[in-house]
Amino acid sequence: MADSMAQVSRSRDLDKLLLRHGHLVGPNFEPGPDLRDDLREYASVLVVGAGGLGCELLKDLALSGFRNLEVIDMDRIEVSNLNRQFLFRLGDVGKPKAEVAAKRVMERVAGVNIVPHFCRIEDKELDFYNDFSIIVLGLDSIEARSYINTVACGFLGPLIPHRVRLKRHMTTWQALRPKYNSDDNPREETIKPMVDGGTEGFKGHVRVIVPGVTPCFECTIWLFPPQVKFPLCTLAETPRTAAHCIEYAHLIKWDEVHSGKTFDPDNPEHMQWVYSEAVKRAELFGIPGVTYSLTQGVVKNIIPAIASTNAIISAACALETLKIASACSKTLSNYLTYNGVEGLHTKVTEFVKDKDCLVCGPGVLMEMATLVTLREFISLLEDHPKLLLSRASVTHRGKNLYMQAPPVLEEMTRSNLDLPLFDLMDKVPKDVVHVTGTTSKSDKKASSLRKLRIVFKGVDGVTDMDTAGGA
Amino acid sequence: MIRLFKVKEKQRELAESANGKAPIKKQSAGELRLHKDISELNLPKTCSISFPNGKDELMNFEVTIRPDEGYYLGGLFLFTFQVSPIYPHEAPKVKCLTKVYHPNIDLEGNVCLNILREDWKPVLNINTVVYGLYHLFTEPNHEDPLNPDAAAVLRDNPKMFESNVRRAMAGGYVGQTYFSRCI
Amino acid sequence: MVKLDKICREANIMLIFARSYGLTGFVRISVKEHAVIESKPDHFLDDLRLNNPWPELRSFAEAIDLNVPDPVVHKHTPYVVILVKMADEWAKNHGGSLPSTREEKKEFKELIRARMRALDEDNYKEAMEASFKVFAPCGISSNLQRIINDSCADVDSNSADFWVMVAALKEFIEGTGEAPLEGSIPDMTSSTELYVTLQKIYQAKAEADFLVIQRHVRNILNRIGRDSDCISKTMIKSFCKNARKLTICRYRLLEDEFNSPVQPELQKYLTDEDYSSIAVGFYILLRAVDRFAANYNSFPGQFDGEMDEDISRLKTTAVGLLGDSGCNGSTLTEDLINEMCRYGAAELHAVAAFIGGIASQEVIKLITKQFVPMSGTFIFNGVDHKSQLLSL
Repeated sequence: MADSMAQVSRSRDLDKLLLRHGHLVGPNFEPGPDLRDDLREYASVLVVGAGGLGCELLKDLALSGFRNLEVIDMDRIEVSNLNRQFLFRLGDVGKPKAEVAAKRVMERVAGVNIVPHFCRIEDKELDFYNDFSIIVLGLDSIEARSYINTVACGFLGPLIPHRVRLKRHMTTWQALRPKYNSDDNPREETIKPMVDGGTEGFKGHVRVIVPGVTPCFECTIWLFPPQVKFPLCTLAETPRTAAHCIEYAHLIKWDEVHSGKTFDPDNPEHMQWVYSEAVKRAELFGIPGVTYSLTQGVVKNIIPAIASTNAIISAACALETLKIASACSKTLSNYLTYNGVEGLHTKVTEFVKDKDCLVCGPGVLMEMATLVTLREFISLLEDHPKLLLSRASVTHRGKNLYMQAPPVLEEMTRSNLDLPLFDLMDKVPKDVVHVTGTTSKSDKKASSLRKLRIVFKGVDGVTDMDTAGGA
Repeated sequence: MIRLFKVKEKQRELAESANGKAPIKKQSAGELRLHKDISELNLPKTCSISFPNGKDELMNFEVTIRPDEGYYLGGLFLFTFQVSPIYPHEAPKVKCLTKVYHPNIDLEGNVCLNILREDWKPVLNINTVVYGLYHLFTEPNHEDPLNPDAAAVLRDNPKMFESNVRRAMAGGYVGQTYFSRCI
Repeated sequence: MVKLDKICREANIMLIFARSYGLTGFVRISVKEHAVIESKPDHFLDDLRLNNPWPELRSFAEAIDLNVPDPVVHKHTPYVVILVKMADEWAKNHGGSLPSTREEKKEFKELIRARMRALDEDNYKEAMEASFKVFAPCGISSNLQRIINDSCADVDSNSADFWVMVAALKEFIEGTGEAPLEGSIPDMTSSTELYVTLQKIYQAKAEADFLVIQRHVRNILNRIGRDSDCISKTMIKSFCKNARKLTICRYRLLEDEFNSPVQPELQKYLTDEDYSSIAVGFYILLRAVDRFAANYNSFPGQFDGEMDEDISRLKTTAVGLLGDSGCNGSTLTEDLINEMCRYGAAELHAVAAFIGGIASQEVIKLITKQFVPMSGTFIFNGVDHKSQLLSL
């Protein structure tokens, strides 16, 4: 009884947004009780990361009308997490973050179901990710973001076998971007939107990635400044700062003393060893400032996290997720930065997609017969008006079909040249391959890496939609 | 998008009953870029590359350098390359497996080469790195020492440095350190 | 709100308003004055005095020979030394003045480049990149000038410790033309020995400057009849280290903002079509819904049946409010008024969490007296996230 009262009051406020018509709303907004109920029943959201952002995200999403949530995180709870990862208590230290976070939110928010996954993101089958409506990222690593981005963008277009023909309608994202020519427009039901949040001290960002429509993570990877790396000889010979002493102990001294044993940043004994070596070195050179926490910071590249920044960024992510799913308002287009160091600054930047992006770009469509050999395929690339690519090397899902160089690989792949491409691609009716080669434009040669969508004619499973490249 | 989620839900049920063949592995942007680098390699004849894990595992490979001039003429030096999935955002990790008496390479195989650390830029590639390594053998420099003893000898007594290098490469002691034969 | 604001202001209690309303909301700090010593800005020019070295730095630089034959020493001479020497040399050849025109600056950089012996001399590369630090004007910033000229710097027995230190700083600046030296240097290519020596020279000067300020502080405290040791050494030290970055935040009373908003700003926001028109619209409407509630005992759109009526009532209310704010003739878009009625005072969790996060972040900054709190009124725009800080 108390539960259902809570439910009514919980959805009362949200109902105003979901049940009423409005003017400042997203495309195809269809307010009504069905929308609210569908959000509960059909929208499933994956939260990647159950740390500072993840804890907030799960709570925010659970209180924003979503009922089907899953969370994936490979870490266990540490004491140092407790100051901001508010779903965890002292007694939880050592337990998997994903499991505790899911349990705590379910205890507090009736009706919500959260499935935890205590594993690495790479451990899951790709199909796992395809089951979600939206993926929300609360991570602190470029690698992990890049991985999820590649996976989500990989669902785009005609890659997934599908037999259900959608009713033609003005699609949501087409309405936003009518410019797209139909050839390169991704099929809407293959789009896996992502909402990405990140924080660093008093700063943070939120971005909405609609693969094939807005820039993906890879289109704008330059937004992440490369990590500062000290020259090894500075560490070895002319250290000047505490960080130099720490990196010396971590990168040089460790190997010297523990030959063969790899350094584990999560092992406190290892960290302690690096710290004490760094102290010794700092004393030797008269350098102040080596502390245990700085050692951890430098070695693990930790940026201090602040609870309130996490709260702000997660809330904005959750709001965008709600808006994408329900269309109850416009969505962020497409990158928000927050900076609270000096006063308060927020800024929205609309980045543009890299049309030739290897990850989210449509690639060049090529139709061919199943009998075409790899050698014939490579010469087709030279004449293809959109490619004009000579001396091409070809790779398909991590398998190098032909390599022009170096000689050792050329030799190993040469025998493929006379086999049909269709066979080399495991007889899938359609898939993506990547080719590298030389293009010449007005006598200027440039090397180029391109994504191609190959569709084999006359193979079962290819519908007219696939060859059209998307509805 | 909610309507699409509904459609997809139904679609999935259908797909599950059909012969849904799961896509295999995903190539990271780093792997693709590396593929490009490798397929465009143009190494000097003194350098060669090999792939211990076969033609499809490009992310870990080995480079052998056999200098044809300078102090290290005739030596054979093996390097391992480890490339990250976010390459070229991050430089490849390079180690020298051959123990070498060299001012810019320490006894653990760490290499002091600017483009591997502070001066790495995504426009650089594997070819540049291999050339950089080769350059270290033709022109070792005592100004960025990683092996300070070797650097001091090179600076103060190039003749002795030369004989030390010869001794190390032939297999023998330089000071307290034993070097295996690499000629 | 207005009443609470007055009470807190009189009791000198910091007050933060935070409100979540549909897809909008606001955060507003109200406190008479908040002085920040540790403002910790992200980008701030290092305090190196390259073009105005004090005697110890000058003689240290003079003792170093840039033409040293040893290439290892040559490539490990810190750029601070290179620039101090080269600025000095330039001044000698140019009647005491430093590079000021674009051509001169370029020429100065070329002179540095000419001294490079090899392409891999990172210290010379750093010197070229840092040459703008030589061109920076001597003396104090206009911001600091404003602070020492503030009437609060005329201290009496009721003055806050901060202003006593500002008064001491003012005396220091009047004597030397510069703020006390910060005393830290950034990392730069250098031998360990030269770098550590350089660090010590900067620290020693900072310590000397601190002692002068401390003496001024004690004299001033004596003069205004307070215990001359009542401001701790740590506090004065931190003040000296951050002297160039001092920040004062002052907030108007809400009543003043409501009754007489800064007209030019308000007009600017109202006519800015691209960015802030939605934010300022929300600002007006957030006030209008309160006036609406006072008149009609409910918020616009709170109940389903009265939508159309509420829309026109809210419009009238908003127009009235704009008139009271001195903006006769300004209107808000129908879409926005409609939107505000759609919200019907709904409180969405994600919006509340966002606003709460902003407010708590400001609390952290206010309580720790570190970093700079926001000025003005933050208006959250949850439609497209083009939120804005309004200075009214």
